[in-house]
Amino acid sequence: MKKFFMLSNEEIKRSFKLYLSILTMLVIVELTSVVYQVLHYQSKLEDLMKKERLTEMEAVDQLNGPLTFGDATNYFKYMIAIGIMFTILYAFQIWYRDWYGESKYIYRLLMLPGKRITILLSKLTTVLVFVCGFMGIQWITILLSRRLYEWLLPEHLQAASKIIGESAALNMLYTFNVIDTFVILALALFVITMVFLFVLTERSYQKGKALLTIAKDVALLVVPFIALRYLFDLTSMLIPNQQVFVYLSFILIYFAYISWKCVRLLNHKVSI
Amino acid sequence: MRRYKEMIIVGGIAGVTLLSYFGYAVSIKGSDYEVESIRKENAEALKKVNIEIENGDIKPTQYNIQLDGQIHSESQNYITGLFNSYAADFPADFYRFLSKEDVFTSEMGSRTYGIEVKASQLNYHSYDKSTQKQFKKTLSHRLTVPDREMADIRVFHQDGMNVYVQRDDHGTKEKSMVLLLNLAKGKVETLQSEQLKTNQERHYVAVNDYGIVYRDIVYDAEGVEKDSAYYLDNGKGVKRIKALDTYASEGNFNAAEDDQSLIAYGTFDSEKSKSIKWNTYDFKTNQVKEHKVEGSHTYRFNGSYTMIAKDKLYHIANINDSDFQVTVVDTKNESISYQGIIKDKNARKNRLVQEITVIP
Repeated sequence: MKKFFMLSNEEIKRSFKLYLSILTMLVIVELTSVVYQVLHYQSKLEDLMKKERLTEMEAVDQLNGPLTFGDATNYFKYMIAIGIMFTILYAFQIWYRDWYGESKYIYRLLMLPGKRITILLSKLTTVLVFVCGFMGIQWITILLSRRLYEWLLPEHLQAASKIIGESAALNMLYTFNVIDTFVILALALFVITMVFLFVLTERSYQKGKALLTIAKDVALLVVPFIALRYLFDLTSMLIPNQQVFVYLSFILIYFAYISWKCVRLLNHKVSI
Repeated sequence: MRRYKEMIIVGGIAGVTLLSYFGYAVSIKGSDYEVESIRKENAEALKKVNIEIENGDIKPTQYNIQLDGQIHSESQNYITGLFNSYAADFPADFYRFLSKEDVFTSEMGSRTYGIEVKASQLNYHSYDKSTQKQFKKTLSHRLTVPDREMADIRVFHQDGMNVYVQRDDHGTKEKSMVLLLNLAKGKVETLQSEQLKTNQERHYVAVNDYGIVYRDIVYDAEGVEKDSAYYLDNGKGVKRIKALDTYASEGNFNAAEDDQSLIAYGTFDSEKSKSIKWNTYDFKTNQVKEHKVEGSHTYRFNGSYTMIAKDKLYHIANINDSDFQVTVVDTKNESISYQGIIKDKNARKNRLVQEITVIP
């Protein structure tokens, strides 16, 4: 356990500045985008009133009504996409920096006494903690943005909406159901483990064989899925609820397989 | 501790911010419903009425409310969302039949029908949600097998073991047929078969002692409805039911329980009203009669839900942003047999009535 905490801390420490910089950038860009959207809306409103000689009410109508919180947070979805991209890239980088860094850190890691699974778990934990941080900070940014929106925009130009607005991306991430958050984190865990498998496979075999092995592992996920779908459509042998159960079981089995393979590669195949 | 500084900071940020989100999520109060009865005739019958309400905003929850005060709520999430499909309402083998590619499905009241036409046999399955009873029958016939892409088959009337089906073929020529599925004898009979004009559409409504009732809609070249009218075909001739002309464009007249009349309910009257209205057309007198009962509260038409079962009209509508008025009307003697309020103690908005089910 001590080794796990030590390694996790080491991983976090190595990305600490980068991670905090990205979080800070995310908050600043998002808050700035809210200010921009509110000011832009107000300036469009004033322009319309001046040029077309409209009353404020008429100008608001021409702009399709008051500014909703969903409109004000329109850029958040791009920031979420950047956050997801960062996480995936980071899942690659957390391994490759150990091989390609100046100090060849992977030597030290693999030579450490004890089980190598701890290395995998510490890296997995680090990426997952970062994902949790992204989700949490995004939530706090939404709350701050809401305050900003209410403070900057006169009340009669605001449209009543739920706390997170109407953005589909935000509504998917924040359903206000704790189970859904764990489902999102489980999905993140699955994707991160897949990335880890790709990296460890690439590090374990020669180029050609590595590519073939990766293709085989991807096919092991995709082909049965398509085959099951085809079989269910063709035969109607199972009702949708039973089909969902089969799909979920398959994903769980596949996850167990890729996790086992990651550990196996790390224990027996990975070369320095 | 200092050794783990970075881990504590990053973990702390993730933990505190996510916990604040969970705290917020837990603090959101859902609806807390209670049923307040204003008038009730038969307390035992109330147990059989189930009203399903869903919230359309954050933290989706489904509430099942019985008029005797029993309330169940179920919070929806991504996992339950995967399992809560249309199929959950049906027995497995019935759903399996419905999902076959060449099966035509239709609904009437609490019944769902599935019809599969093969070269010399017709497979008929039905399932009644309120009684949870399934019926299957294979009937022999001499019909052409419909092209799944160019045809439509739906049940429009059922009288005991006689099921009346409309079959439309939209091939090169528009054709509409009425088939009688005699479930007792296992036979299919063609009652009507007519070639329609290209700009004409037909909806069969009812079959009774007076004949077959249908509604014809004629469109202009731009596809805009030009004329719509109800007709009665008594086997000897077809006559336009002129008394229904003013209602024909709405097209909401359906067969009444007694088979001697047609009934229309849920017609728009005014956005806010106390009256619950419905219309009946009597074949004997050839007249439309407007009926109404006065409820206790002014309700909003928008979002109201009406259904009819066994001569009882079930009406549920918002009386304010969060509370609903439920009225059960005995259509035979035009009286209210039950009226009550589904009150939300937490006064949450944006709730939608999904379904009313009456268990016989």
